[in-house]
Amino acid sequence: MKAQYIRGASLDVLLDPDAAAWRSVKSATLPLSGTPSALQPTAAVRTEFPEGSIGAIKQVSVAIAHNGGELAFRLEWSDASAESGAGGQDDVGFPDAAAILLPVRPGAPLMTMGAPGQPVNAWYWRADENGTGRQVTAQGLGTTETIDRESVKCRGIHRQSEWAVVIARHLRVKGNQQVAQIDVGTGTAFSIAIWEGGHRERAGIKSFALGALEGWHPLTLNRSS
Amino acid sequence: MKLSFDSARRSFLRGGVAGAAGLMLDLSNLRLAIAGGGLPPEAKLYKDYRDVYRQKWAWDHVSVGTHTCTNCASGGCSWDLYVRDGIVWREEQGAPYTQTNATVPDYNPRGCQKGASASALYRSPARIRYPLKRVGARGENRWKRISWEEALDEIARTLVDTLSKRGGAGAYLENGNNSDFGPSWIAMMRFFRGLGIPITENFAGSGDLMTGATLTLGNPVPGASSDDWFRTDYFVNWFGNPVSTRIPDAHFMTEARYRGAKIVSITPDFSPSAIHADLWIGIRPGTDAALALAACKVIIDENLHDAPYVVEQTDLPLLIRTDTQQFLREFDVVPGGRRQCFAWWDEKKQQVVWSASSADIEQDKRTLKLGPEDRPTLEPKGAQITLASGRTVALRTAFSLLREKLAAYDLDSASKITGVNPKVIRRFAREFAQAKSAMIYAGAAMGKILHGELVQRATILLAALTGNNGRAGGGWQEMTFWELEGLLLSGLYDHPSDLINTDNPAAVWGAFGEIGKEQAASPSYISGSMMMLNNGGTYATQLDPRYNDPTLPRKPEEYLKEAIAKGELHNVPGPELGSPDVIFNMFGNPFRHNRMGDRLANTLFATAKLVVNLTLRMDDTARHSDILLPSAAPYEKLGFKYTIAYPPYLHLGDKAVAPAGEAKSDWEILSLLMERVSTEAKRRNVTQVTTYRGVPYDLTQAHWRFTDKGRLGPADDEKLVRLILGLSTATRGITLEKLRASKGVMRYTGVSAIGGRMWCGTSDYKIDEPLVPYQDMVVKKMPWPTSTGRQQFYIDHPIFVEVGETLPVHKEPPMAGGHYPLQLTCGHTRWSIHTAWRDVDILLRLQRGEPVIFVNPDDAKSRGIGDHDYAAVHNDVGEFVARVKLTPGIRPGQVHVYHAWLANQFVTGKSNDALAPSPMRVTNFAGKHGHVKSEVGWIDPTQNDRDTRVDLRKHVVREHP
Amino acid sequence: MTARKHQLAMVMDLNKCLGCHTCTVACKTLWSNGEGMDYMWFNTVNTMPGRGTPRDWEAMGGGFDARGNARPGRLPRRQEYGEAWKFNHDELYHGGNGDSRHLEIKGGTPEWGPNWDEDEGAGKFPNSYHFYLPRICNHCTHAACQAACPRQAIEKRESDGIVTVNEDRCRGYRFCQSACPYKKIYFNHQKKVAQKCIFCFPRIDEGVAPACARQCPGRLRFVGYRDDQNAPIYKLVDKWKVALPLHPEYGTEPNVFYVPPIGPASYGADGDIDESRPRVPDEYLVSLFGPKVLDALATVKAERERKRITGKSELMDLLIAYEWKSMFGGLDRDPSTVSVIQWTKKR
Repeated sequence: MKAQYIRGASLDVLLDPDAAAWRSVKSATLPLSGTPSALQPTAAVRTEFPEGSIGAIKQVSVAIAHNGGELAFRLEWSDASAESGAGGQDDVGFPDAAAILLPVRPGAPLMTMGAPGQPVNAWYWRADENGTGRQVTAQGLGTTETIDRESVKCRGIHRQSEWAVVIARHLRVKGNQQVAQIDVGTGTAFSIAIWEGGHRERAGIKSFALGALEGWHPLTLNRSS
Repeated sequence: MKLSFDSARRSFLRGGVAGAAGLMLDLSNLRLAIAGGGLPPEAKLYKDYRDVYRQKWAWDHVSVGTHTCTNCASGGCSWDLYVRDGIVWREEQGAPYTQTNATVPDYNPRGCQKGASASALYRSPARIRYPLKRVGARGENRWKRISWEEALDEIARTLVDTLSKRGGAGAYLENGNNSDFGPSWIAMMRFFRGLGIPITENFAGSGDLMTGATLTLGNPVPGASSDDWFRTDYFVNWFGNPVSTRIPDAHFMTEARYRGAKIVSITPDFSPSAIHADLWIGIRPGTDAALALAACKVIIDENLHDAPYVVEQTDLPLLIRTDTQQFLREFDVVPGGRRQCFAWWDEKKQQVVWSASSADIEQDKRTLKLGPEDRPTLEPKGAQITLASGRTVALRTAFSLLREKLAAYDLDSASKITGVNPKVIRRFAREFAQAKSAMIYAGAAMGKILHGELVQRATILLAALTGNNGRAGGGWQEMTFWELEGLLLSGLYDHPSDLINTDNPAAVWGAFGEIGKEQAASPSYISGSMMMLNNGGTYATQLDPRYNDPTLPRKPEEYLKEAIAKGELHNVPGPELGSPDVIFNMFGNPFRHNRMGDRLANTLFATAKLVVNLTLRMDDTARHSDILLPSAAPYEKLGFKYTIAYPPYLHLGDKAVAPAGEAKSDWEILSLLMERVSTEAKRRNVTQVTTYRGVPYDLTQAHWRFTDKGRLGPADDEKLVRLILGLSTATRGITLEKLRASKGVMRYTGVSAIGGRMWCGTSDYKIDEPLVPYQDMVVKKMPWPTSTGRQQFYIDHPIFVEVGETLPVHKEPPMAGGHYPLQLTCGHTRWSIHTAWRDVDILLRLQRGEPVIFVNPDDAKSRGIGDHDYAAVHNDVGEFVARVKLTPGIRPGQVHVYHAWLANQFVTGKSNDALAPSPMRVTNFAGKHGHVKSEVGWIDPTQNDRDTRVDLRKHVVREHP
Repeated sequence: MTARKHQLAMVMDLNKCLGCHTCTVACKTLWSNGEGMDYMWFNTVNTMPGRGTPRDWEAMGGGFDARGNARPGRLPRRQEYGEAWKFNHDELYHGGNGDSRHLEIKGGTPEWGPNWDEDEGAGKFPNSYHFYLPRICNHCTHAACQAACPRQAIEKRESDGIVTVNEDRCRGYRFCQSACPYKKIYFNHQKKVAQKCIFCFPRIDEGVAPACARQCPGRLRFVGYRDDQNAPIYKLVDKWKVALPLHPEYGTEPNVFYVPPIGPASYGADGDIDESRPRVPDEYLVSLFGPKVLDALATVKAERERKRITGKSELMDLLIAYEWKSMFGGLDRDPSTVSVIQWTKKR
């Protein structure tokens, strides 16, 4: 996919899912697949989520834009109810969540969320932390680690049984080898993970967008519109 | 890696399970790689989560040796206070009780959940931190903060007004049982005694006074140290619930069980203590005397009683005149003979012999020991005597009258009364009699039914017939105290500082003599329960014959009037104290501890011009006060835990932290107030005023006297502690420094010559053994402190004769509150110490957060009430509303409420105390009859509530808008 | 998942438990007083039979089946634990409302709390029965929480087998909560991490017994290493076999053991004592502690009788604990003597 260049669009504008700027950005609908139960790291997880039970969200509409400095993903998917998850008082549910996944270096395996020495970077949004995203890195299953809660910005709106969520970040962030550094004009890849909180999806229980490039979707950032 | 990635993708895309299983091979390798190496090498943690927990346990310093709970009847517990940033952040038991005797478990660690959350109480929203003045109506809870100067000046002005017009009779102190045995108590005594203002004594007012024990043992507070429980072979918890109310001591009971003791619990409900018994006897409430007497009958019938002990140690061989039902006294026979001189029938001599134990025998000749020729008999035949009048009367022993009385308590009759199977009664009687040692742990609730006095007398009889009183691991035990002469002298003598460095016992006895004279002229204490009766708006209810013993020949009020007319009552505040201008409150919460205490709002508190409350927190009484003076919490001041003897250790409370807000120690508060009172008196030139009993004194000199000629200043709490230690026999060799070096806890080194003998009856206290009372009597053969000098079961005061209670009998529980089908019983809860801790969040969260009544499911069901529904509990006297807790362990027909919820915790603002009519026991009006004499803390009309009859109906509470 | 050589363990003697909750309060004030921890009680005491805390936890699944497979479990709901109720103290004490207000739980009538069914029990008068069951994390040898966590955020210390949640690694996935068959893991809704009893490891590291044990006035909690043959734990669990794990069928091999309760005699229909039928039914105790509980009860009773007659019984002497310190397997240091300066500095 291409990230469309929008000259002069501020981060605030990009973060607004309803911003007029997004109307000019071409979106694509990507099918989502649930992770296999067998891939789950513990028996308790596999018992709770047998094959076929994972991946409540089946597709996501994606539009990607950048302003030369920041890269934003606008996701839209159907979800009858917004799960704010852990913030509730009587809560055994989990928040709806989404992440943009990026290989830090070429060859990072997507399925296992990276591998030792081959980190995968996730820009993570969750409904109960709307506004503050998490910059996450992983080098294999069960190793995700939050790097910071500042650099990833996001905003989600739920209405008419639909989530519209924008997740954005500076193309480059300073001083960290475990997150993706993106340059305009070069190619990279991405994937998307979505967790449906109402189905108790969290951790490796999610759907994600499998692309042709070893699972990744190729991504290019144009220099100009 | 790349390969496996591809294969994963392929299988993933196919969605095949088989493919996914194949994928596992590779993934498991990956997992192993992670598991083996922990985190990937580049990953780092920001901090170690373990440090968070380590830092939670950190503190700046530990303040060692501080008890926390002045109002607890379990005795002291050692607590270390962990202080952080000047705040006690948590408390943990100091556990300094070294084992003194390898054959009994040690006292560690003591404590309970209240002690463990003392800081939650002292920092609770209810805590009073600054002087507050009421600005709304009384009870409205509208306050403004004022300065100490404003508060003390206003109080001093009003007090001098009152004293100059009405003397001490224009004011009184509501005094609760929540005092220390240290500077706070001394402050109270020196202040109110110095101003001639009466102080209510509420041992009877709280229902804790065991008049049956006074009558029988000459000791209202009989008891052992709790480690003696461990040595018993047969532990009978009667009326009590030590598992909930003696938390630090209860292990001696559970451990005795492992030693092989049989544990019996006698309570109507299957209580928290019953679960740890071998035999629980679920008795119909209030019929305990019948059970005890039936057991006594079995024991006597089967000749299981200890006859030599009974002959030597009890009044049962003493002779009763068959014409008058009075003891035979020497003055009946010999002109000018002694009144308190009693006789037995000598089998050998076939004549009357005057018992050397009698109270009027010359002191140096008094003994229980029989002469070599003495042959007292329990059941003489044809005993008679010719009186001084020349008339011959037949004589019978108390024992033979007892045997006759016991005929009514055959197993079948007793079973009908008590609801206990006859075989169970017989088994209990035999086991009790045959145990090497048998102990009755008498719960304080035994004092809280109308006929508790009879239950006490009957159960003590059981212990005495079997020779258990005075036996290690045996006997009838409630609680006893270590007496501290230093405390009494510091509180009641003008110049205790003069005594501190004197080794002259005569000076001490001289001081006690002065105290005695002053107290005779104008006693510091008045009866709290009689204050309530006469002036608290409860007179008609408490004396209502419908709520009392229906077999009384006359109305209860007539007995009271007669006693007053005869001058038999002592310390009784009459109507002259009924309209005080100034009320003080310290150490108590009379709105709660009095049955129907809510009526104070419309009586004593309604007419007072000024109600001053020295208080830790906002309780029912504080809400109805005018000026609240913030009193320092136990660990914010220096003091001693009061000296209940379950643990034979003195507990120092030390000042661990500065008082909250502007709180001050009671000593400092009253010192400052006394100074202002005298200054104000000097300013107005008010010199001579009178005590409430009319004894004149100079008000301008009151401060000089209070301070022991200027030697005890407002910051001298420590001096007072040293006075107590220096002047008490029980603390010989114990200094403040030594206490502080040993976590504030040291074992008593002796017993008091004045109090120790009376309370413990053990002059030869052994520091490394459990305290066993009555060694003076059973070993040294010193007489008991009763008229007969024996454990006295026969009481021949005319009231006792008239109401048929010369010997212990069973009387049916009264219909207190009217004829209602259910009986409202009450007990101390594990969750509070009286009202303290009742409203503390951390403990409320471990209950249901609001008052509950325990109801048998069948009783609730028949009334359409479910669990956690509200029920209105009602009778003639009133109504309260509480949540229902369905409990199969509650006896059908019984409703149980654990006590001391504050009134404002109930939805309608009324507590269970509001509907307890607390009928007056007419025998409590008996006096001027040997040891049967009226005195606070001895025989004083007791309040009670466990007979209250009620019914329930479902209640719907409207939510606040 | 192999048993550690040195595994810390606790034995709780239910014949000594007073239901006083000193343990609960000691634990609460020490550990679970931070953000999001209000409703947590790492240590609970419940009246049994009862629904316990969280309510009906025994029916929530988790643990392992007989073949060692993970048994499905579910997350306890917040209302099944009960909230840390807040009260209207200030309105009451300073609000100027007189008697028109009472002390109320804010936010409506609760349905449950950590000790809601206190002193209720089961059966019918006069044969009702109950006892108190204190519970902490069982620090299982085969910890279901640890096995369930997809992030390996649950650690079992090599040195002593204490199970802790590594709160730095925990992402709040809560599989541990479903997996723990004892439901002794809480979820911090503010911090979004699981939290649980830590067996007071900072104290253990300084030679101090856990707060719940050291502060227990009923003196019912023994502490020590499973393999210390000279200490009470080994003797009670392995030698005398009177201390048993709760619900051994859950398959996690707990390291907390219970001496089963011996209730008072029951009554027959005629009101006389019925020696043939224990008040606390055997089948109920078997359902809690497994079939070995009957042997344990018989041993305790026989040794009690031996002690009564001869004055001698190693088992009874252990349970009596003449010297309190002997209960802690050497972890008997007075906490007030511990230097914590290095931690306070960090603070």
